Amino acid sequence: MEKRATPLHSDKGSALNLGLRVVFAIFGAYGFSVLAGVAFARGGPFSSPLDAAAFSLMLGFILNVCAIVWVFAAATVSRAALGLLFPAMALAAWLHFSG
Amino acid sequence: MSFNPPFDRPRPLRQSMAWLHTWTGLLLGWLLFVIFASGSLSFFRNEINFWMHPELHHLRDDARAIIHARRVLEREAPDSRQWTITLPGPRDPTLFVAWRADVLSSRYSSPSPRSGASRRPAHGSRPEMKRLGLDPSTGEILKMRESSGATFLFRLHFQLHGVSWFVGRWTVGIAAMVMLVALVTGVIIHRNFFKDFFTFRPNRGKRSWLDAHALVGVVSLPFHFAITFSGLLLLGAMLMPSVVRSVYPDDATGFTMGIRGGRDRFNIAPPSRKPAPLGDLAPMVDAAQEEWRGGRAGSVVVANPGDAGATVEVIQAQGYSLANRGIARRLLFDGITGKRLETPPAKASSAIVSVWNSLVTLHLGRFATPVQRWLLFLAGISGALMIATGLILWRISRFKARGPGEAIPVGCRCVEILNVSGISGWLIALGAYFWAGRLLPDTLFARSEWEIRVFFLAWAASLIHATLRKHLSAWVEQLSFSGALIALLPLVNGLTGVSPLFRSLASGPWQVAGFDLCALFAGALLLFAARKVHLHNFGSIALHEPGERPLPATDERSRRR
Amino acid sequence: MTYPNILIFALSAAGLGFVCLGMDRHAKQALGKAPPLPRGRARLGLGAAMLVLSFGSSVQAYGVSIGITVFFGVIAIVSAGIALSIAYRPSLLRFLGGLAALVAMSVALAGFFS
Repeated sequence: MEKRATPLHSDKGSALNLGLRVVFAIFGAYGFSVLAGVAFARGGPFSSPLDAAAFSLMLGFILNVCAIVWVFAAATVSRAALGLLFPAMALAAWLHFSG
Repeated sequence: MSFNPPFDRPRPLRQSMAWLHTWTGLLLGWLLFVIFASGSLSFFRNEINFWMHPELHHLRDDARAIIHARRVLEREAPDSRQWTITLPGPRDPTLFVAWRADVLSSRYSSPSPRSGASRRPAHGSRPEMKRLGLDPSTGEILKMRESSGATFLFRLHFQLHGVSWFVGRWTVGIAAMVMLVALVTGVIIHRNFFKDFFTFRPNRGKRSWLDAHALVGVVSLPFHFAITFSGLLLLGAMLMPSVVRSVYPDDATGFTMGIRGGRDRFNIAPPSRKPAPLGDLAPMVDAAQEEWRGGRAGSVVVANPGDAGATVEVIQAQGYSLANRGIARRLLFDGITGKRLETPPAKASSAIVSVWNSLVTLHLGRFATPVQRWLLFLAGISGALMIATGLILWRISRFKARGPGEAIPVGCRCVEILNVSGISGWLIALGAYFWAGRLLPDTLFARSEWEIRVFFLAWAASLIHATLRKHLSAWVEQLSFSGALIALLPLVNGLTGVSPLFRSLASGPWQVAGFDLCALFAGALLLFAARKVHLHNFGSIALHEPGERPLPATDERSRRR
Repeated sequence: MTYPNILIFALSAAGLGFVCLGMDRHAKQALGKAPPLPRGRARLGLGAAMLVLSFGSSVQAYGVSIGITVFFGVIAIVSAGIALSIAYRPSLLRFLGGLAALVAMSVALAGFFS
């Protein structure tokens, strides 16, 4: 196992960092993947609603896993949050303006 | 690894993923073990159910089964518009007859505007069916004892027990998503994926557990991904309802019905209203089996029996394509003359739906031959082993990482207790459940609930035992007890049923023989594991430090030629 | 166990056996010494070829979707078996590749003539 690095930051900061990432991973990742699923279902070139729903559900779950991994892999908490927020806002804007 | 999240400082990707893998695995590992174990057993649902009903063990497949089935249906459901006969087969020698109770012919009821048209099933539900089990040799209706059977394990797998189906399925859904994260992070942190493919170094303490965890994980990795992902898909409409609602705005069940083949498959062609006697079914089944060159007929569906427009569809027992929901070959016959009719081609699925179907059908295993079913079962068991070895690995790592003379941390002690009761304790509960299934008196009120109570009481007892005993002693005792309970199941079968192992191996139902043999094998494995832990307990005081040569355990001496 | 199952199993066992012997670490365990690079590569190649044949026969017997499933299932069991046998009885592996290849060839011939 890797040697534990000398803690440069306070334990409180570390706990806050982890807490935020956990919240983003549970709710942020889910919200982002549902948004992406809805956007693809509405906007994608599918031949039937069944295709649209099936594809978007599969995509949604894959994106959910990727988002969770991203939240913990990102170098900083802000990067983790923005990495979810920017695409989510773009998708939300697209959904809003395309009706 | 102690709880020191590295996220507030620069760190390599591997470190983040290792932390995530450890904690997703640890927090939900016990639940996931139960899901994998009960799911694997559910592949053999029919066989386990059959074992738990010894009053059915005398049943044997019979060529006259279809004649008996038709006679009973004519007696019990003369005016139903669709009969389904499930022929006895290698998984179950019981003959089943079923009929649609919601769609009746107009011969015996007063004409109404609705008669003649098939009523759509109630919103979101399947058509109302009535079902009977028959003896294939005599056509006698079978009286079965009240038992939860393997259905309890099946339900436990995807909606747990003791909570509402909504809470249960959501919990399992979250566990599945966490499992997927654990799989992905596990692959990311695994060094030397191909170099270490066959690596297993026994008797090296933590190194061996890590090797075992990696080995069971990697060799059936495609299955772990496929089963976990398809598990999510099966719950998909519930876990991400907004996605479904966005394309089905007014149709609450449009997606769930559509993905299973659509509501049209419940439609029956309107009858011609001219009565005509139904032809012999047996020659039609024989003709179908001849056409399939030995492929067995699994079921027969009669539409509009007693009508001139009656049709008989013979369906093969073996599915041939995952992409089409494990669909089987089917042949259509005219109900009166027995002549072959043009079979309407199965609706082809689009590419996307084929992918969905392949994954989901793989998970459900409805297409599988006995050999394929065993492959799926073993893949599931390897998943359960992967989780179990991971949990044990965590405990060993934490145990080793504490300083000299330091007491066992509370968290580690909790993990120890949960490991023992979650793994060997669950196996004790399983053994107790099967014992109760056979030993509880038939006349006991709420018998099936009592079987389940025994299961949970045994599990709770194992939790208490694990709390009171030292860790390794708890493992030895619980592994021995579960091994004994399960290995003695063939004895219980022999004493309370009509086909003990020696008879079922010779001539009896092989489902019972298979269950008994597996119980013996599994029990023996558990007892062997108990012995290994026991020897380890007495062979060394502390686990090996890295770099130290492994202590010569007593069993190693006995292994040397 | 029907004929296609035995063929798939034998080809997988042969293939994985040769792949295993092509790796330095396991060749040392089973045969006593690591093979020179070209021979190691040849074993890997031969093993891979047999695995491809196993995959092909699985798909031919069961169709694409079920064939892929059966193939991966057989691979899982055989790999676990090989890993355990190297750990406890390394010398067994010496014969595995050749034996399984022999079985596979005879089964294939039997199927060809039946």
